[in-house]
Amino acid sequence: MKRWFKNTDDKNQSTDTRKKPAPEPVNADMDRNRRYIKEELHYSEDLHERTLSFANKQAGVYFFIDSVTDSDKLSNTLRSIYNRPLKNPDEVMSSINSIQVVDLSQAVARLIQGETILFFHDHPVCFSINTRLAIQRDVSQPESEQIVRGAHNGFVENIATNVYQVRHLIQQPSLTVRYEYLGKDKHTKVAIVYVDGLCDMHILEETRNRLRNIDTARLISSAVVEEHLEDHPYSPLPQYMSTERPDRCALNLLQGKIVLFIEGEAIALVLPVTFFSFYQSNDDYNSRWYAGTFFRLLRLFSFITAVTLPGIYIAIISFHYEIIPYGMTFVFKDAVEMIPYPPLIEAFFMELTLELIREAGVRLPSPIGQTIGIVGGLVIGDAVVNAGFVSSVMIIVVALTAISSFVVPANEMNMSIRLLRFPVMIMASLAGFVGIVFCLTLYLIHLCKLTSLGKPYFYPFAPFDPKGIWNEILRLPHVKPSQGSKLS
Amino acid sequence: MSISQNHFISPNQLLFFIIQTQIGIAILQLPIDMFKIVKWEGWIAVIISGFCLQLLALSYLFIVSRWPQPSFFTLTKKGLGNIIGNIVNFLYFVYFIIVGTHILTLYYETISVWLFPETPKLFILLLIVIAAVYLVQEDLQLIARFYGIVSILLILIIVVQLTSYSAAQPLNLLPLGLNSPLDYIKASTLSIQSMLGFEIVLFLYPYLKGEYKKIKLMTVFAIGITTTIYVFTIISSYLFFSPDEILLIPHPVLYMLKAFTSSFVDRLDLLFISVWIVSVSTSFMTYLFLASLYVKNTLPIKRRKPAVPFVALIMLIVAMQYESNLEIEAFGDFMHMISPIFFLLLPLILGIAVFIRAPKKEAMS
Repeated sequence: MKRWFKNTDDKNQSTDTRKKPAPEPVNADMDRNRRYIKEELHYSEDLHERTLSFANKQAGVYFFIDSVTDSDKLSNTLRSIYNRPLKNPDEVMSSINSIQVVDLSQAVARLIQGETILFFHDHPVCFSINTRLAIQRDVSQPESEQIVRGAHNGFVENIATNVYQVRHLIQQPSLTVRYEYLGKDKHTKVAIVYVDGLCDMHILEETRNRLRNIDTARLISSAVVEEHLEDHPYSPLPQYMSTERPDRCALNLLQGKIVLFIEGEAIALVLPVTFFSFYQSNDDYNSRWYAGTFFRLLRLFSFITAVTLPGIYIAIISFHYEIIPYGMTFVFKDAVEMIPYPPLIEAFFMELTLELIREAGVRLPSPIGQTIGIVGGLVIGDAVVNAGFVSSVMIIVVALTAISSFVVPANEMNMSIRLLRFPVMIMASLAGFVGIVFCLTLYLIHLCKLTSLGKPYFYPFAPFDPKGIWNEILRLPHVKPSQGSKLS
Repeated sequence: MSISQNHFISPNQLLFFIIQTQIGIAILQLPIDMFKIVKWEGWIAVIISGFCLQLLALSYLFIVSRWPQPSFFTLTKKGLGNIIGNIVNFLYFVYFIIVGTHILTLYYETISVWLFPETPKLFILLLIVIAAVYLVQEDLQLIARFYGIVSILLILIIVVQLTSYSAAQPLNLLPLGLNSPLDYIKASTLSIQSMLGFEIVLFLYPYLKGEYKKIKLMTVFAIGITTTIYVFTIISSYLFFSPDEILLIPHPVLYMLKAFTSSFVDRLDLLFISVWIVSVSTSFMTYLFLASLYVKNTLPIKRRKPAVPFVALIMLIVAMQYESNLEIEAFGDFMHMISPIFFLLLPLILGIAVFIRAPKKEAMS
């Protein structure tokens, strides 16, 4: 399945004719070098050329691109070159930590990254000095994954900083970092971080293979990497966890997982994951274990309510009203009796309204977002009941469902859950409880089928492993020696 | 991660496989069927048949382990010769189709009586068939994993029935020893029919990975658990209904649960029937799996997957033919009549043949 999904996007995308330039040695003739570099960079106007002269005698030229070059670093370097008026350029350059480049195409690649290239007259090599500009924001707490107690730092858009944050938490020599360059032009840098000895080497190898197979000229984001890595790209459920929290990554690394960082993105992909890891939060480990276990079970319960509650409501109102206890019959009857629409329409109307409110509120600045929440939640909810479009019980059901679906700590799982409820609602309106059971059976089969990099997704329930349930579903006290869950 | 690994199941998974195949349609009918023959001593008959099944299943294991083969269907060909073997295999295929169809018709009958009298038959049947096809297309191990998970629902089947014990009449089970031994035998043979599904050890043996001892143990456990659940169900419905009442009621368990109300859920029978649907689907899935296994072994196809929808379609078409309750009943009687051939007679013949023809060296692996 993975195979077909691949390579679909490249056929029409590859009109972009960026090719790796042929290797071109540095010429003794300065003009040819100059022309080559300028042509390769298409005479871009942020490319600057300056002459380098010692004691009024022109010794060479240097190139840099000012948009990616740190001017402080550059002037410091130049100063140290001028302070060493030695005859031999090789000696000068080796004393200031530069790299010799023989190939002009490589020199161009380095220029793009922010380095400065120096040419000396009548010298067959050029030198590259690291003057890269680094702009990054603070390692502040990620908006989407806040916790009450624990570390409040998050990843940023720079691989080195991210790896630093992980290394800071796991100070072990066995923490290993491997770099891969992805895409057609190998322009996207990805760091694969794992703890050697804990991580399954087959999985690591498989991950690297799949990464190497990514062959697209598009900008590679974490979602592209994720879809190429997935065993089942057509599944509605996420098979990799993305997180912005270093402590969460560290925890997973120590459990033998692999973490991927993609250059330019402030998230880490954790793989392979199970369904239940989406329901774990770092707060579980930082609170009392009773509370941790309770909240974990509560979140799992929220999965069931988020998926089935509207379906159950529809099934009961349309088919199985006998199931309502005697005392509540009149409450339901009063609420539902005057509603002009069938329960399915009623439910869809409310669910879609809710999704609209959510979608409208997501990207607005938070003061306006709150207003939308109040207008949507309170005003529409109240007015809709008063107008008699939707029953008050339906409002309760929709509200509960919405809250349940936001309980999941991981955002990508939250999205999936919200979609899973719609088929249940449709089947419930067609066949009541039988329809719900049918839908849930299909979901369960699908969960059993799914794998994340070949590891069963629904572990520890399928395959059933009582020990795994202790570790994954419950949160046992830290003082208890862990038995270590194992995948069979 | 390799594909060949997914074809094997562990003895623990065999346990769930047998339980899920055995428990199915019959749990609703059994109390009344037993009552008709041996009155309130039906549970004794079930225990007797439970023991018989243990013996049968163990002897099956003995036969198939005597001469290990890549599949049961090749064993019959080796043991009985190509021609007879092929005929026997085909008969088994027909038998799987019949059992699958029987499950479908009874499932529809119950759903139409209890929940949806007006809903088209095709729709109700499709619900179960689609789910079955979706699962059975996958490897054996995944089927076993699914069975393992849904076995958690069996706890619900028991817990729901516990509510009835608040109105239990222990005297309903007395006096004991009223019936003649012949009646017990008659009732036991009938209840064996309701516990069909243990014969899958014949077909699953080549796919089992584990010690022979553990396989035997798990088979015994599985049949033991099924027997216990059946006995529990029968006893709880006998305790609840008096002997006069029970004869009037087609589905005692459901009626019993219908009578109870709790402050949270008024009709426990609806809850029970929702869980029961899953048990029925698993039984159906097993027979769909076995039938597709036959197709894979007989036709020159490499994989089992494409055969599954076709076999399911055959079962669906046959099940659609039975309209009235009378026809369904006649079909059920027909199945009860022929099934001893498949769980008793053919394995016996095969066993004898295997003992004569199996090479001595490979014996008792």
